[in-house]
Amino acid sequence: MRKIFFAPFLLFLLSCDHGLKPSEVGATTYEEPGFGGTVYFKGTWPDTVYDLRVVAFRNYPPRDIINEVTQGKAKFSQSLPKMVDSTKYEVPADTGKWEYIVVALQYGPNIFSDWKAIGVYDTTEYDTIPTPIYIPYGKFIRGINITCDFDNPPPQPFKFAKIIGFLIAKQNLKD
Amino acid sequence: MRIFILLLLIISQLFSQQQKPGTLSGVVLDSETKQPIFGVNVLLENTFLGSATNPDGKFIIKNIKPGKYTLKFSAIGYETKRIEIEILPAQETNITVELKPTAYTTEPVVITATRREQTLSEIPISTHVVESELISNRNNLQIDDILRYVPGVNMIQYQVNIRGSSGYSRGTGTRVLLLFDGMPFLTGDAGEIIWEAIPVWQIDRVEIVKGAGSALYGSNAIGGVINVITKETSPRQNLRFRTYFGMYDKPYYQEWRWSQRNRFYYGGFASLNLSTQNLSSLIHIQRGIDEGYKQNQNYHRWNLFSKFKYTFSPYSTLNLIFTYLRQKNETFFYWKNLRNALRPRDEDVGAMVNSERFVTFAQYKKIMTPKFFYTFRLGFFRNKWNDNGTPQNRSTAGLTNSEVQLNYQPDERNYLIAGIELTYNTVKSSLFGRRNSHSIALYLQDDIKLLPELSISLGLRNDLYKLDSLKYTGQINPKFSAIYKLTQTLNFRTSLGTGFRAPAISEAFTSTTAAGVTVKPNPSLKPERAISFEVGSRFISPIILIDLSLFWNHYWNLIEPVFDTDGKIIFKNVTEARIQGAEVGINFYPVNFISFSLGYTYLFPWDLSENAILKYRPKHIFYANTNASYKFLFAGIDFRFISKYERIDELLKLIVSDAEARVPIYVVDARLGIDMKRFKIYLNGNNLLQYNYVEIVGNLAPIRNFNLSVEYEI
Repeated sequence: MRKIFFAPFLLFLLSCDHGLKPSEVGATTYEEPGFGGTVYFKGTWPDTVYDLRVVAFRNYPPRDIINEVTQGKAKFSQSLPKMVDSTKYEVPADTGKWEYIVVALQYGPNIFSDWKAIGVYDTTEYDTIPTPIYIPYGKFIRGINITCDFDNPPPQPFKFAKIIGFLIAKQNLKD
Repeated sequence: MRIFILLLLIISQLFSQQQKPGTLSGVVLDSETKQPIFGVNVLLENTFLGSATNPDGKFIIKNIKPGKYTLKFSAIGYETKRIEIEILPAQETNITVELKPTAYTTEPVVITATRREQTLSEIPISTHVVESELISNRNNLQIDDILRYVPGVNMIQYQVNIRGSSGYSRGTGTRVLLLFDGMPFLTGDAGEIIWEAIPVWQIDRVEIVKGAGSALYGSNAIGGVINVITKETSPRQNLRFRTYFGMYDKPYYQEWRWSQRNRFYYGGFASLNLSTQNLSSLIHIQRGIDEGYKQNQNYHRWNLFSKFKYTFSPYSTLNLIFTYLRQKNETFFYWKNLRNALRPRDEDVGAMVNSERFVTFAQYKKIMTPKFFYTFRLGFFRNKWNDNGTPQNRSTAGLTNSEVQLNYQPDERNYLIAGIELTYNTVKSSLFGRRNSHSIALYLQDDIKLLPELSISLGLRNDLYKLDSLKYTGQINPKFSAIYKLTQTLNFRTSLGTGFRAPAISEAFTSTTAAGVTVKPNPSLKPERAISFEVGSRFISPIILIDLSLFWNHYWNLIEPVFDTDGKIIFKNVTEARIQGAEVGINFYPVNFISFSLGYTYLFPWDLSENAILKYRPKHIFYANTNASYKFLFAGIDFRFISKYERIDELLKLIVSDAEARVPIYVVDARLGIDMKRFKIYLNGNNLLQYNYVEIVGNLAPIRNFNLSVEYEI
């Protein structure tokens, strides 16, 4: 009975603690936001591969994609190695949602036009809609694995080649 | 057929009055001071005839069928008195009655639980009443602040939970029905409650009925009903002013100090009561500005409220009510992270919403005979808002509601209530498209006094509703409740009822991308359903009130936002859940200048679909309050404890940084004031011990703040 009587006072005393505190953020270490994983290759490699990269877009289907590219909103990886079974990759990307993650292959010498998609991040088998990813603040998402099948490439989005080409060329100019 | 019989009985009553009616008039005085008492309710028991005393303490009741009656006098601060009288044909009977002042709190009258006036001890389901004095003393600026100290109720930011009913659904599709003077007060598009549209200083009382109430109120009353009852217009002319000025303290941690200076909130209201012989009116205008304790969270708000009452005769009145809100507010969705808990995410800086909302309705009441009266209501709720996003989101909804309720008391044992309610709703929105919905409902309730100590209530409501292009859906909701008075002070009660909630337009038709999340429509949503059972007991004596209850609620088809296979969010019927628990409430008045109250609710909220605890539901809710007054001074302190939610949305963990950062809630509020009848000063300290907590993920609740308010009445 005495315990019941004192219970409200004990609870009251607990409010002298100040609850949440900013130091608790230390438990979750900050990482440069982005995503990464492994690209698996199936089928026959083409004879000539000029470049190979993972590219991420904010929206799918791409809306105002030229604008996204020119404003630096689309992100991509370093060039991937060729003629391998699989390779790891990383894409530094901002916090938020990325709806379209694609592996782009430059199959010809024209950097502005000779591109095609050879793999899309899609975890669902029963549709062709890419799976979006969410990057929380201060997190690097791992395990975004993509399978590329050279013999059975995914649907090619509108103006894909031009856009990728423009994007890579812009980056090359910066470098 | 039942309605036909009911109408036949009513008509026969109308024509059965052969004798010339008599009149009863009189004056009510304070037995100690011999001064007239204003506002005493005078009622002829077992009839609908009654009146209230005017500022001179006088009353008059006309058109009384000759015979013997029991006359009941009740007023706040006085002992209830009953006297026997006889009304003679075509004569006026004049009486003088004295009421004895009482130091004890009188039992509140409740109308929401059974759609008719009953004292709290007669109510067969768990009901809580918050009265205007406490609201005023706490200087609550919004009604949701009032609900934060009601046993069994917890707020998740702006979303109300009664015994764990709602969880958190981002404002859409509340599982608690809010009524404003009886009129449904949910927006037509998102089905949400706009708390700030309610003029908090004109509230007479707030009634909270716990458990499924769809047998009386239809959709949304799946977890309970809250009825906000505004003050009556007064025959006294007066002008009332109130102004308040508040300041947020500095955030407790240096890392959270985002502003160079303290943040303020301030505002006030003026209200005017005017009356002529038959017309009384109340006009209230209110301004509120809050700079926000978080970055990107300020608001500027105007409220206008008016109430006009026209008395055609003592038995026929018309009320016209209008409430309007215009608001411009910044939107703080989620914090940037726990280290920046009072700053929004970068992408949300500058987010803003403009809104304009109004509710207007007319309520007509006519007492046809001593045994029969009806009420008719016609109302319209317009809700318009737009944000400054790209592309801009905008929505306009118009909800028309109409209801006729018939109250018939054929004898001392039965009290019948029947009604019909119609709604029509149109929405034009960039998020939901052009949509409409409509519904029709019929309800019937019989309160039966089987024995002097045993009363039961049986009810049934049938709702038929149509949501845009979808098929009509019907819902039948029955209820049963009983109350047994073992002694004058102790009673036992039980109730069983069902509930449902039709999907909101926003749940079925939302198509948008916001805050990094894409939501897609699901027009195949089914209504949520619930069954609610309770047993309880209430002990009422002049110095203590104890209320115990055990409850069991089962929910089916709860609608929740989930990831669909394409990675987009969709509202789906996914959850079956059971919430069981116990509740105890104690009010203790040991001496006339001090009172204590405690409320504890234990919840066991279980998600049967996932075999895990339900998201956003606490297991323990505890409140303690004490109030003291001496002469013109008063003081009070409130404490609340809500245990930590054990589960939250997986989805939010992805979107919100440090979403898992949450703690149990321990909050202390205190107040001090001077009440000199016409002149009042209030000093309030909220979250006095500067406890930092969240009600929803990524949103730090208000930090310590103080306010001073002054009220003057001419």
